[in-house]
Amino acid sequence: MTRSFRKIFPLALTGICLLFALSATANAQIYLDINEPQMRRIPLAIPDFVVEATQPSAPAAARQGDQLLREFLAFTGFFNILPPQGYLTDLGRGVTEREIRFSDWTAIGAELLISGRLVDRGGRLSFELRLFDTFANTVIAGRAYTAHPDQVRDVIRRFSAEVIYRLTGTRGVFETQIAFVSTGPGNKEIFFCEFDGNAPSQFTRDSIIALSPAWSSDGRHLAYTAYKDGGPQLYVRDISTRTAWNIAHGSLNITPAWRPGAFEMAATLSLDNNQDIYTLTGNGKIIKRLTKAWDIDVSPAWSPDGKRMAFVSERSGGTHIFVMNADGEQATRLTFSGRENTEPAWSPNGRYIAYTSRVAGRNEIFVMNADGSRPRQLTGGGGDNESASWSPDSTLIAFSSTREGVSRIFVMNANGTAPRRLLVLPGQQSQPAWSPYLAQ
Amino acid sequence: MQKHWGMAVILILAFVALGFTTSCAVKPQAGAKAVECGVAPETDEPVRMTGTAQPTAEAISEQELRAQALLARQQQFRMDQELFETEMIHFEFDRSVIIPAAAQILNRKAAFLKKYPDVRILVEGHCDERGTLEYNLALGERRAQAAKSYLVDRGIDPKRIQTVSYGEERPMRPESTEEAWALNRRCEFRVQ
Repeated sequence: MTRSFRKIFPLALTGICLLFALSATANAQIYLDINEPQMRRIPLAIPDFVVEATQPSAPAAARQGDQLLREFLAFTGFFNILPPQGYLTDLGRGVTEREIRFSDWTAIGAELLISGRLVDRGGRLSFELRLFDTFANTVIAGRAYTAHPDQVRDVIRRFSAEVIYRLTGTRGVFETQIAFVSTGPGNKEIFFCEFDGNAPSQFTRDSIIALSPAWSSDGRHLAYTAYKDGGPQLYVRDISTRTAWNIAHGSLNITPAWRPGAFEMAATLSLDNNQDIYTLTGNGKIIKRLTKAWDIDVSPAWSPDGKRMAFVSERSGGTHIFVMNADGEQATRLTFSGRENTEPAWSPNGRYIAYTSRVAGRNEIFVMNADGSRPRQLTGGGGDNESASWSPDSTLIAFSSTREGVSRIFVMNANGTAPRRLLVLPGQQSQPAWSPYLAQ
Repeated sequence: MQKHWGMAVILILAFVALGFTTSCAVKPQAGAKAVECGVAPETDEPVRMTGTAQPTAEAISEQELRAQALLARQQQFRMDQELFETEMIHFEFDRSVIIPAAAQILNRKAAFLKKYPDVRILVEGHCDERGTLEYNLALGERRAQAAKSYLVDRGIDPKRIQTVSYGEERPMRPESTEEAWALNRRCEFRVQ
């Protein structure tokens, strides 16, 4: 799936991406500071795309396009997508900054506007898409994509990534996938889906229980835990070739976490009746034992620079999040509230650590600064909420929740707002793992 | 005379029946006899089949006794194995300490392992659903290791005991109640 995902981008869209009318945006303005936790959602209008193309498929492609664009941009949590029924006008006058009367859009509160037009180009459809600052009357981004009617989703994904890049300076989540565990096949197997839950597909089919998917930082390998020969072992699978190998040291091989930028991982093994964290090569050779506590040490989570890791330890009574250097030295306790704090996830921007804490008989997602300060609860209102995983731009958190009864994957903004279910599949879903950027 | 003939017929029938019984019973000797029969040393001695020679009443009786003893041992092993595999030990929430009730059961496990010195076992550690999944995998391992250590302290060779953690993956009871959680925090024991 990832392979096809990668292939589509260079091949399918024949590369005609015209930059037009960008002179006004030469001075890059940051419209959205994604590191601001209480970020205001910018009101954005996306009127229906104008169809000037004569191909019979054009109207349907236009409807799919404007709806997907609204969905994709809403998914980021950055925007308040103004409902189209409240618009004073459509794009009948034209789609360029000379033709649009911006006062029609500022009057309804829109600060940003996206216009779309479909025209014929060499026997195929061309999508012309422009993002405007309605108060400054300027174009922020303009792109044209020539595509087949079945590539609308890829067109919109690329333009959405462009919009987010222009507004935030980061690449957004549109070129990512989420791995997760599903019981749908009758036992736990690992699945992939696109960033928004689209196109779920089963990835593993080789074991009775598969758990804890972990992406390598280059997106090439997935490590996970699977039961083989009666016990939990680590598997590493090349995602494009599907070649896999297993790693077994003793009776327990769990919680793999790839070191950023390296073919190395940390994992918990149980070699002398203690569950301790080790570093291993991607091929499974033990590099170093990092913890030697008498009790459980588990769930390593690397800092994005690969120099430190958060982990779970019982060494001070209760179950708490600690942080230590990559060589195992200088372990420091980070959590002091509650008795059970587990599943640390270090944000890709390095600032935060999300984790799971048991509160009033429920598991809830918390986030704290990476130094342990300012812990705050992100989830609530029903069910167990577990297994936080950050989007690569650190703006969204995927997690599993039983708020609807069975466990499903949800996504929320990094400040805990706007939780939404990612997808519905047979069985129960858990342990989401957000990929790094997968497109080139 | 007729009475003697009658006796002979009965003896022959008994011998044929015994032949069946012993051949069934002896069969496991070729393969995994220790696991099948549990008691290794006594079964090493093959049951002699005298073949063409007319069996005497004494010989039949001896074979019969031996076969019966073997059967009894097998039946006893099966009963012991069933008890061994049925009785599980339970734990307090988020703990891997062997509580007194569990210690009593483990003492019986140790006695079983001493009675059948060739038996190897698997200890499965399980957790309730309340902790998070990864932590529970470690906790399940810790519980299995705690049970193993207890048995090793009572003289059982650690090489005979394998452990596996299933974390919260295989609950006995799926409900989210105190009762179900208490049952799910357990070690199960399997003869391998």
